[in-house]
Amino acid sequence: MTIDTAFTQERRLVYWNRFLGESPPLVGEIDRELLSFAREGNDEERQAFLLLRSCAQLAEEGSSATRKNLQAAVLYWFSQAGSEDPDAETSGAGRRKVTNLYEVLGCRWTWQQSAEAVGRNPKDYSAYRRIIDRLRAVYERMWSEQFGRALQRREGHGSDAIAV
Amino acid sequence: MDPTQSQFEELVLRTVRREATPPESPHPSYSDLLAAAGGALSQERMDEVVVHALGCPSCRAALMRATATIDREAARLLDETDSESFVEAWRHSQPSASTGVLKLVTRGIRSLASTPRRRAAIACVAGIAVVMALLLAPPTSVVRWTSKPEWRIEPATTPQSRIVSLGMAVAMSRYVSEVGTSTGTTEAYNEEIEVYADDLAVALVLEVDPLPVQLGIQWTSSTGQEVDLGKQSLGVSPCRVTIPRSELPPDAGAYDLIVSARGHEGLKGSLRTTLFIRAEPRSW
Repeated sequence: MTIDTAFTQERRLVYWNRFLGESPPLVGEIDRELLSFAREGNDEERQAFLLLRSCAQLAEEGSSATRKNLQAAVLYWFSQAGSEDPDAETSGAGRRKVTNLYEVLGCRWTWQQSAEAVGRNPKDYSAYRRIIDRLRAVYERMWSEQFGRALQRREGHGSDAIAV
Repeated sequence: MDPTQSQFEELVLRTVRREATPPESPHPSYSDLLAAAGGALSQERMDEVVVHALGCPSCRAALMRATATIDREAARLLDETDSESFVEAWRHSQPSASTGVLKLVTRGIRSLASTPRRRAAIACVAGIAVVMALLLAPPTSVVRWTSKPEWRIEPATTPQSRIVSLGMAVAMSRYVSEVGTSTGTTEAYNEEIEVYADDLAVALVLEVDPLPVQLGIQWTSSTGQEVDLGKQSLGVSPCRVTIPRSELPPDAGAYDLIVSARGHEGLKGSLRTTLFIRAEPRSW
């Protein structure tokens, strides 16, 4: 199989975008479309697939509060990507409903802004840490299940770290 | 956040950054624009354009600037039933923009659906189109005022690429090359223009003196069918006028392409050349 990374990336972006709406992507549909590509792909392909899949899993099994926090996390992550938008502050970002991820690319939101954008309490600073923790657990478990080998671990900081 | 959390967050941010960065895809090209506007861009390529625009910093910046300009009009456009009046209105508000491209934008936006993903595509294509319209607009340079109109017509013949830049880079493929020059107030143009099935547009580079003139272009078939492609004011020279494939005769055959100009003090000029529409693609 020849892996068309442009295709898989585009499809993943479409799924990522759905986290902003009322119907986040389901693990099953992501698997049906992208799992075989991820199995054939390199580590970067797999990481991208698995991060998306882990978020979908979290959205499926989590409470509505978890889903909202996950939504804020997705906004936060994508706002850190792309070139920085110097007009982000003045364009009212964070105070309006975001319907497409391209709207936040480069906006460099804080977690507080991201939480506010999805209607969560911006002062709940630990919400992001909780999401990261839960996501990491799902991600590590899925990596072993799907790709048949344990995550590579590297010594450091007195703790195992993800090095794939 | 403890080190493990930090490292996982780093992985997440790195992955998302990669996701939001286009694969090594070129910037949307002029031919993408024409195809999208004519509703002929494949779903696959449209997806690529959207993905590219999502992650490409320069396209995104250009898109933001362009969409800010068209935001007001876009909302109106989507509900607009009379696209011609929209184009007219826009022409008057932005007289330097190319009418042809604006028409294409209108058609393009109309041909797209209203899903969020499509809206991204609309914004992208419209943004590119606006930039292209500005690029295709006549330059605001000083003009000479001499005695006779002078014409040079350049059909698309050579697969030559050029990179132009106005906040974003746009690859203009299958551009034009000069095939000859003709001078006179009224005369037949010796060079024929051949348009093949895969050509996207014919660009006419017009040098006109004196200026300004009212320029009109039309084609006629041997059976007498006449199609007027509209008129526009020409205030600078040389000027590039692009006729998209969709406005050229749809059927293969020989046609007359007539370019006419009407200037001050009754000055008139026209040029007639043979336009061959080929059914087969150009074999480069």
